[in-house]
Amino acid sequence: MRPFTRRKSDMLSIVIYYLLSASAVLFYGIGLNKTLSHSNSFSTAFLTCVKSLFSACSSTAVAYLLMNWLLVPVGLTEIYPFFATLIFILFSTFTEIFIGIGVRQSPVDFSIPLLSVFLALNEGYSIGSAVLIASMCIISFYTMVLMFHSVKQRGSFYTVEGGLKTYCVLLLCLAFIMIAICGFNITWFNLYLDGGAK
Amino acid sequence: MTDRKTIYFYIAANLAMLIPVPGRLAYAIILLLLFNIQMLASTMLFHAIHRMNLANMRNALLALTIIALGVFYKQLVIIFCPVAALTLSYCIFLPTLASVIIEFFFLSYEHGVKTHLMSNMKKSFFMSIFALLFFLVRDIIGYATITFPGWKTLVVIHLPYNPQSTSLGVFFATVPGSLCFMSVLLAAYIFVAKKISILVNAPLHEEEI
Repeated sequence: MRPFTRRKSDMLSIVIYYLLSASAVLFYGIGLNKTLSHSNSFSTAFLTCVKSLFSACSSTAVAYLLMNWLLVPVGLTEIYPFFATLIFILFSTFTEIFIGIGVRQSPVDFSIPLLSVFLALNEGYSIGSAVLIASMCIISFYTMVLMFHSVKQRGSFYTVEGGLKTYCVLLLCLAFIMIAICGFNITWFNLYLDGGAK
Repeated sequence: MTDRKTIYFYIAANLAMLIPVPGRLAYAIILLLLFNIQMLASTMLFHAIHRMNLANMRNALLALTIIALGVFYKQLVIIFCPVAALTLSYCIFLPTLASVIIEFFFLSYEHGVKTHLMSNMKKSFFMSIFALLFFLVRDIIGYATITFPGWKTLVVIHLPYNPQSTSLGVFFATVPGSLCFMSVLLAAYIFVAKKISILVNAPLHEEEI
């Protein structure tokens, strides 16, 4: 396989892996509580998504470069979360100034991109892959928010007095979605991405 | 918000810590110890920032201090139990952010630092017991072991049955299994708490009659 095609295939597997089979919400627990209790309107959620994407991607890129130039040569990679937080606060403030008009940032909205940055720096093997992982984590979170908004709407028609609470039902739904997605991961999906069964 | 609902909120905020972490008691002990330390530190930090009139820099100061504390704790875990540090990886920062979310939600400067601290630590203690129970059951059913953090290793007590022969309890060791189990536990908690509140309120009604 040519290097360029191989790189494209790597990027595609990162997209599918972090969007579906090891989704930030389902596998890493990023924003798990927020997914189940998100109550913003579609436009607010979209604006928050754009803000989170911008701050997460930019801070991942800068933190990755700083890690490589400063922390790796002196063997202090373990303190990368501290640096990442510092850079993330900087970019988050910039984002708030430029595109944060009308949307108040809650600490929960703050925690999701920050955890995505940690995950990306922890698991990314190049600057491109790290940025892609961070963006996929944010996108998978907001996809889950949309999905669970519809599940909640649907569930609100069938609420029974004295029955299971909505939160418990949503947890069960999350488990079923996870089993469905992970079923793909452990069967033929991986084989297809790896270029067929050996 | 009533105490029952507050503890429910604590559990909900800690879902990110309870679900994706491997279902071993040893990891739960390590994470819950950090969670309680972070709750203590963040409550005191909020009050310190308030007294020093640094409200504008509150979020940045809090995030940096709490993450620094998390990094320091991870270094200690690497020294004491490297296996746990390797397995938990970045999950070690999940209780940090959960504690910050809880602090923001229940922030009040009215009753002073001592009352606020006592009330927060009481709730995190109850939440910790709930989480330990959750991980203990998953450890016993899922792996047929009880694990504790030890010096440089995990202390594993094997129970006299093998779950892999029937695969009966292995489901609870997985992430979807933990979600199902958490859902059942939450439903049970709501049911029991409701019954207890009925019992607590019952004598008052009799006196009124």
